[in-house]
Amino acid sequence: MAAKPNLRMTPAAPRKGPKLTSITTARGESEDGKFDRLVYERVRLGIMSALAVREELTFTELKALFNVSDGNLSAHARKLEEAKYLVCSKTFEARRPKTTYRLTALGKGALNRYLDHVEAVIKATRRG
Amino acid sequence: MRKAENRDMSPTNTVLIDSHASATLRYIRSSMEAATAFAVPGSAGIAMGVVGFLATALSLMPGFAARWLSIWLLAALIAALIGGVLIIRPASIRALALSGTPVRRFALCLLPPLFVGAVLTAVLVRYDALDAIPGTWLLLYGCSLIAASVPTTRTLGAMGTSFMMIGLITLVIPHNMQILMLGAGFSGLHILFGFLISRRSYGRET
Repeated sequence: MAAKPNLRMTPAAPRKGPKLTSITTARGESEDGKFDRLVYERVRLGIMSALAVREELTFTELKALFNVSDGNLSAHARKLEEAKYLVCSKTFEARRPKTTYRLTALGKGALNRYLDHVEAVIKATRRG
Repeated sequence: MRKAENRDMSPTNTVLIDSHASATLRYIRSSMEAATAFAVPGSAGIAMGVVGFLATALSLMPGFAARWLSIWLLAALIAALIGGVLIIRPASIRALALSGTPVRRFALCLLPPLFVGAVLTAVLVRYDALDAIPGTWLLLYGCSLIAASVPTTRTLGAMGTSFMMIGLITLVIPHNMQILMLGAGFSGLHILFGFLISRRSYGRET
């Protein structure tokens, strides 16, 4: 019953329509420098958002939450891990491997910066 | 080429970027909500409704009418047990929310009004104000559901509001009709909203 995030509502496909990265604010400042491509992707953004409100989530929980395949999720999680946005711990529970993810301080900072960026875009376009 | 440039500079595109960013914010929020949401299965509501129906039928029988309070207290206990088991039963995405914060939030929202209901029942029995019990139960159960709708689903809030409306009516009607109102709430509403929640859960959201 818990509403799953609607993936269709995610950032629209970047190839169609205007690119979020190339917009300029009303003051003419380019936002390119502040934009984190790694967080922009919808599944990675979802993973980071979910982990911002839950101390930790397992691989299975994230998979169910975003309705993605094992391969897709592990690829996205690995990218976030490589950027040190997430930490992953592998344990065994009832002889079954259990992978748990946590958001790092760096990851929280990146998510906050991304949120600031999106808010700035909204403010800039509304001023314009 | 110029045409394309003109289109890029049009105000429509500004709106697109704005809505794009808004959609991103909505997605972040929905991801956070989904991660902390607690899933209540519709089957729990239906099962509790069936128990409520049996309690209503038994309370309306001439031989058992005087024991309506005992019947309903027993039914509440059975319904709570069945509902609890069905909610906690590990199943697909529901297992996701069964640890830590979501369960704690759900319990913190649901239980205080139910505790108040139990205390008030004891007080009302002590002062022999039995006619006030059905309305009080329905009202407080409605409060409990509205509070529990915060970490779960709005449907639960609508159900709680319906319970409260029935509760208000029950407080001012004769006792012989109060049992019917208990049945309308604890049986009818549980079954109705149980079906609604089940349909939404298995159809689209889950």
